[in-house]
Amino acid sequence: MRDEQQTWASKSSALTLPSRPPAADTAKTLPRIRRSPRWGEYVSWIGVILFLVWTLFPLYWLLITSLKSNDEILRSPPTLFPLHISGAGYVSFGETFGQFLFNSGVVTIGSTIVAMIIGTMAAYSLTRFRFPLLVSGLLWFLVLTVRMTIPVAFIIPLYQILAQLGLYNTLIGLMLAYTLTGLPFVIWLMVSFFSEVPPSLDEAVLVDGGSRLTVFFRIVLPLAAPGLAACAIMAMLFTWNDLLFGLFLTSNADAMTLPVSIVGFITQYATLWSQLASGGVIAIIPMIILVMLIQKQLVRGLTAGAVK
Amino acid sequence: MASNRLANAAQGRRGVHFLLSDQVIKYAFIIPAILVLLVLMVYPLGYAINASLHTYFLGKQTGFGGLVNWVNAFQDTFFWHAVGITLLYSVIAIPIEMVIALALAIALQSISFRLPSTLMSLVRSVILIPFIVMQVVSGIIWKLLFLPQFGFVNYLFSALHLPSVDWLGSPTGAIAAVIVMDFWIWIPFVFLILFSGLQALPEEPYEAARVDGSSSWQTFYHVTLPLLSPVIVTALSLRTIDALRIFDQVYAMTGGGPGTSTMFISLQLANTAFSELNFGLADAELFIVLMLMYLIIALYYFLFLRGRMFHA
Repeated sequence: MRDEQQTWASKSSALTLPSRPPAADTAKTLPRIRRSPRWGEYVSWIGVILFLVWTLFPLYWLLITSLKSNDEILRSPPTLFPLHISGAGYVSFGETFGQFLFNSGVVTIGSTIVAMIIGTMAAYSLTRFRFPLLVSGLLWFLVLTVRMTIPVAFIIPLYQILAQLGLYNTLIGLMLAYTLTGLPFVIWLMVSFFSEVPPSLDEAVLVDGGSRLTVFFRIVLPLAAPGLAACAIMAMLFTWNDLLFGLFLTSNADAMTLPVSIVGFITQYATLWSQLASGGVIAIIPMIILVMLIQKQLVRGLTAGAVK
Repeated sequence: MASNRLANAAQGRRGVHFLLSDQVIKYAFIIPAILVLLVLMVYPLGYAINASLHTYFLGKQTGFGGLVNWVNAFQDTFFWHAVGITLLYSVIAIPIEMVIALALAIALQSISFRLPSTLMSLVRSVILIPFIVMQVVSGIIWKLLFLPQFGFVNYLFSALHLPSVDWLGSPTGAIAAVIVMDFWIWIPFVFLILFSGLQALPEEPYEAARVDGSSSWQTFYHVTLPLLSPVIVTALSLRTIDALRIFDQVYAMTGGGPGTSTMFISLQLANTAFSELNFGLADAELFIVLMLMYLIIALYYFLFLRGRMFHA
């Protein structure tokens, strides 16, 4: 099983190659293009541009809805530009949702830190030492199962357990739940990043009299820093965006997260679209900024957990 | 192994504490992860197996039920309806997403040499956004677009002289709306995986194809597809797993309605557990779903990895 993971890791690093020098790309694509008929290229342009429009238009719609007044949103036919730009949605969102924004932030950062600490340690150990098949096999099985199963699988027992421990509707309980989903992802991704740091570096330091801890903190972690950042940001993305755990493990503003409060808003006040859209804009901006920082490592993060 | 001995010797010379030896670090680093996963995952799953063997009434355990829940699960028409529409949605949405994403990846690849690299990375960033957007918000966006009177989609339909459709109010309309939203969220994801795979393909087979004078279609079918098939299978299996888990965006857009027409597996299970408070039945159904998921993944292995997906 271990060997399979290793091959997968090496495959996935082949997947992330697009960061190679552009010259090689041109050399590869140019001759192929010259042979293909010209209309093929026009079709490609049209396809890509249409797709960009298709991608951006719904986001534009969200943005203008957040800037319209509720009266204007419920107009038929809909207006393609807001007649009067109003920030009322944002103001009213801010008054209601500050607490939920805070909860989401605390849970996201807290669970990511816990998962990153435990996960990077395990990943280092897995890439540098040989384990009995039972130990490494068990770990990979657990990691895979979390990736493959539906999250509802955990929510039902977790709800029952957290309720018994008195952790239902607390930030701590929610952090625990998100550590469960974050940890396997972190282990998987960090194994693939750590295996790119040559073990000979570790050995050089050890021979010079450094300890394993020195190796880990001074050599391996700094060298894998871009990977660490990518991993942390993706773990944050999944936690920040998730509705399910928040929905069933919280009941009020003490621990309720942003997506839960947004969904609650739909059912309670079906027509307050402007506030809802403002909330949506605020909810998606932090993650869009963060993920853009790690674009290069993203594909590897996306395919983490793929069985190869 | 030799290096370990060297390392130990080095440590011994300096008299470093036993706590820093490789044997201790090795396990000290990995035990927390195993403990956390055991406590947070194996215990809940064990708990769920136990619960599936007990009967519940309004959330309270009322006694040992043996296989009652399992038998009931097989007769629960709502549950099998949920399984059915989840499979239906997957079978319609995933192949279309794969084909569009592949076409798009090849299109962008074929014009990439005309784009400056900054523009190229901008295009990739833009295409990526739907995947980053909180799925609850995607649900809201598409609910807005599909609103019967005030939404953009029906506005577009009337501009094109097409009949207006009650998207979120009719069963077929609601499933179609979910699938369209699914395209928006997931095509970028598949695209990104396939595009990176395309860019990492070796040049030699293309040169050989050129020398042999193969047409673009032949090159695509006999060179690109076989070379790309591991990446395609990766994307396909990830997409399948995520399709079976679909929850957030549907919960926000339709809430499972109208009626039970968009009650996908996750929504139905959550409903059985948290609205009907029948944890035993929900847990039994959960394990049926898990087995189904493993079965599908095993099937992929059998079809694609044991045999070859495309002929080289």
